[in-house]
Amino acid sequence: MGFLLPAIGVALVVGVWFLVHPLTRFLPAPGEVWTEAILVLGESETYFNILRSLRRLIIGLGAGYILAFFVALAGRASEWWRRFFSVYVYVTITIPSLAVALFSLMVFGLSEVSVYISVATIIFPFVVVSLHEGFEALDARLNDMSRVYRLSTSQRLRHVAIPEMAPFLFAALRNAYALAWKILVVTEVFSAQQTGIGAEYNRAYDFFALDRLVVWVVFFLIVVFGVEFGLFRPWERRVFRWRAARDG
Amino acid sequence: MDEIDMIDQYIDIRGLSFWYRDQPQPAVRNVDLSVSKGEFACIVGPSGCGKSTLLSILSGLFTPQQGTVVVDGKTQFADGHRSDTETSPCGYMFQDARLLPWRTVRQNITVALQAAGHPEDTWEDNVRRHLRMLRLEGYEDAWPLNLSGGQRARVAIARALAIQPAFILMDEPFSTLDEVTGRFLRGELLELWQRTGVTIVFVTHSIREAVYLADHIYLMTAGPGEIFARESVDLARPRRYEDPRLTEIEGRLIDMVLDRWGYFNGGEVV
Repeated sequence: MGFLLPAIGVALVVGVWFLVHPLTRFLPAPGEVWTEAILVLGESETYFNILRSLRRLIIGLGAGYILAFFVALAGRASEWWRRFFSVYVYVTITIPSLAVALFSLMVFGLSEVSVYISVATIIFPFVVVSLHEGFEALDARLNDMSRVYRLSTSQRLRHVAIPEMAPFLFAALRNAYALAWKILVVTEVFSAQQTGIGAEYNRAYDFFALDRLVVWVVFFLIVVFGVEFGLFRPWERRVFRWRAARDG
Repeated sequence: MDEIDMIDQYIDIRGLSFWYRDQPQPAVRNVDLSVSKGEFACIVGPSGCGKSTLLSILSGLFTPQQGTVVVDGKTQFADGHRSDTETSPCGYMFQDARLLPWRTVRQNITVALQAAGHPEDTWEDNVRRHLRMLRLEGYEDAWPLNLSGGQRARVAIARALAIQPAFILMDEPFSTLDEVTGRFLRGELLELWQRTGVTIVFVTHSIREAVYLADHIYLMTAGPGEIFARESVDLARPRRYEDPRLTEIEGRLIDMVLDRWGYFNGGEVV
């Protein structure tokens, strides 16, 4: 089954951990981490921090994605706009995420806006590039069909362009989602508010609490994979059911 | 060449020329074409002669730089201008079925119905009727990718008919299908054409296909395309491919096109 190999992979890491931890002074035993996890799960702050991170992710990701969509659309509509925006794409794709995080924290200070902006800025260029490719891939033949049958603009968007772009929209969303988490926690580490998953990493580091850090990494993985398997995969399966039909 | 009946022409094209941008030569030049209502017209020409361009103009995709196009007494184009009068939509069959693969068979038809302004409460009945006509009952909710090439072509015919078009344009719709499926669908198409009385303009490079299908065949020169002959096929339907009279007409037409299509040394045609 699909879960067997990943399960073996996890078991291997835990096995090595179990064997190796007594040889070091700093690695906690798996059992200690487990106890710590139960403890952390009992704190109400835990849930507050997870939800706070999720909220920031959704707003930052949403804003960056929507902005990138319109920039890609403008670039599709005219060469002038494409060249106008390309400098923003090149710059944001090149600067280090850490610099973006520090910059927006310094400029926008304490407010939540600084976190949203750093997430949106980092994902923006990748979404533009990937949607640009999507627009390029639109089939002129389906466009002719829509014109001959006189489909209205909204019909063409709904029945032709968006379904046709769907693979690119999804690819862009997934990559942006993964990237957004990484920049989000970095920003949270440095944010003065000290809330969210990144802030928990920071606290674990301050106390040199490796067990706590491991617990929060695991929580992070659960949240990221939860969205992947609970939202993206079923959604994709539904949108692309016309394709799967061929095999089944 | 027959005398073209000037009265009661349903589709009437006069002196039509079209240039693609940045091309020194026109794609079609000075085309005259008259099709009466309910006619099955075939336009035959070699590849690259501008047949498809002609269909794109008739369907309203391109505006010709010269000439007039009148359909059902309503001017669509006159001397490089598109007329403002409301024109009825046409049905169109492309070389491929050109369905939306992410929409079901039913949705593919209803999207066209909605665009053509059919009221929503008529869709269901319309779809059912046309799918039955094309022997596709039970495939309403099927995805196009799950259908055979022949079935997809039939959905495309259903879509073209369902919008109750002023006429149907067909651009070599059976050329990508295997021989037996193609023959079968040609027979079905003729049956539907007789039942519905719709006007069909069918483009092909195959003289045999044209002779089998058409009332009148319009022969085009190699590009830039002009129509140089109109030939009638006065054979009762259903016709048979093996009919010697059909072969005879085919032979005569091939003789006519040989030098027009640039085969001076008796190259292969068909």
